[in-house]
Amino acid sequence: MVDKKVRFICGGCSLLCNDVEFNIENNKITDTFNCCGRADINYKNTDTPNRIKTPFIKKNGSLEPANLDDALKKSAEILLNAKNPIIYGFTNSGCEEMFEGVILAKKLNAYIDTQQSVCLGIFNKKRKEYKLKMMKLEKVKDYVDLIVFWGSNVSDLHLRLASKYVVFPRSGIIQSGKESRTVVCIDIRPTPTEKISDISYYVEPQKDKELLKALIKLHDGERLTDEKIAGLPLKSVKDFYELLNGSKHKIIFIGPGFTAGGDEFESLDLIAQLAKKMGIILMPTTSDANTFGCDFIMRSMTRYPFAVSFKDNKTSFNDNEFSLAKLLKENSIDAALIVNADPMSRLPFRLVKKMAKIPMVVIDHHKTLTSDLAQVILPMSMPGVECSRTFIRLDGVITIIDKVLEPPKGVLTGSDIINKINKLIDK
Amino acid sequence: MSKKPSVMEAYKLLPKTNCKKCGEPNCMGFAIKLVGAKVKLDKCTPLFEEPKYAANLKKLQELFPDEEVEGEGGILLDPDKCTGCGNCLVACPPNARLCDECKVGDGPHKEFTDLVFKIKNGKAEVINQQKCRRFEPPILACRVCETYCFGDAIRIVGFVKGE
Repeated sequence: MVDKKVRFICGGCSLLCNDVEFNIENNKITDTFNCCGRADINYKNTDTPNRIKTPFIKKNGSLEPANLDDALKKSAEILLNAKNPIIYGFTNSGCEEMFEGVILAKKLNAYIDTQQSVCLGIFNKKRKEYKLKMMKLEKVKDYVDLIVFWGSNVSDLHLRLASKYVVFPRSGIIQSGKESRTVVCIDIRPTPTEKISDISYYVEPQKDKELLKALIKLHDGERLTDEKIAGLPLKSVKDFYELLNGSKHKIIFIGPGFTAGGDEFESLDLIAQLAKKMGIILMPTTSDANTFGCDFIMRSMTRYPFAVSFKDNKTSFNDNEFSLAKLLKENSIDAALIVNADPMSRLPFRLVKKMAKIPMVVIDHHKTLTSDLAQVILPMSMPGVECSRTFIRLDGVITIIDKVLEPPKGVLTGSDIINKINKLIDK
Repeated sequence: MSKKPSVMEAYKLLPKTNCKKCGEPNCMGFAIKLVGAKVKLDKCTPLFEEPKYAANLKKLQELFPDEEVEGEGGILLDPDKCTGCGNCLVACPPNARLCDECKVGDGPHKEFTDLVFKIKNGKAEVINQQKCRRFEPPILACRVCETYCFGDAIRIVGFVKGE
């Protein structure tokens, strides 16, 4: 066995794998070991033509390279001249950026929103409401014997979730790996996740609620009369309930597919009730690396998880009014600071058209659809690769990621840039 | 390919003339060896020469893609389809026996080479095929890596006793 241990933590997705290794030559990664395909691209694209290395300012309709001081001044100007600015993004960068972002938003009396508003942010709210338990992934590996993937295609989202923590490892009281675990997959269509699942249920689109209601009724001892529930025969619903009832340690991973189907508030309410009654552990699978870090910082600094307004020196939260999509719909913002995010590629087209008319300042490390339409682009070092950052894993474990490479010359970290804009606004 | 084509399926598409040009006693014998990946399709020359078998040849080429057949078979890995999820690395029983880290789900150290699978540059690699349960005695008909591969990247060629 090899004694020498040089292992890094990967900041590619919210799984934060702690066993990746590299071969580094001349400040460039030549080989990665134990990285999934997604992380491999993240580490190797540090020096591509798409990388932003100098600040840009829009002059006469085209983006031109500029001096950092000028770019900072221009971005402070844009934010100061606006009446209702918004600060948006953060979920792929560290907790440090989020911290500075909240301070800046307070000073500007602005709106602040993270990418949680389009992802599973509402779930974290429900988790606090119902006081649901969380379980560390290491404990899941040791004890859990029934795993349900509900609307969550882990073969695309968290490539190593099944192999590293949930399905295959032989650890704790589960010594034979996959054979002693049961995996259930609930989705509207066949996905590659099915290859590792023992049972698959296909529910009709937007009818997850009916299945949840039926399961709660079965737990309360009521009789079900319908022959088909959400497209499933009654027998398979009863079988699924028996499976849930029969196992001692069970976990449900809910993915974006669960909340995408219609009324997410009601379905999240129902699944939280079911989890509370049956002692199921719920874990959301979000694609962004630091969704939970942003949630934690926002909650500790403003009391609310996302979509917060600091208007009129008051801190108020309303996920139906102050999220980026709703603000754009109502035409109530006139400038935006976007930190390490690409809302243009996520929002519906009619909102993108509205957003393109707003002056935007973008802080990012790579060119995106959003940065092409910005007034000012400020370069930042890649969080977790070129600067040390604090991330929080999807089960709430706080992790500090060491830097692997040196950033390009003159490129600052995201938090430094936001701090400098903050100081310029003071002047 | 998670399901192997049956002998009858292959036999129905062959010429069925028992011409013995392939070196086998009859077409049924050729079909058995073809399904077992012990012989290549181009050994059957009438299939390629005579135009009336063209439709059947196309179907056969789809069923038995032209790949290298090494002795008893082997693990073929398509790097374009591999996503680097590591299911093969952890699920593989010899990997777990050889490396304590693979047993609990972690990746092995980069210098460690005495394994069946390893993940490098975001793709799985077959390092030492001889450690596979299909090669090391007692030979077992194990297909764990092929069954659990998310991207259908792994294909096992050749069949062992009992399959």
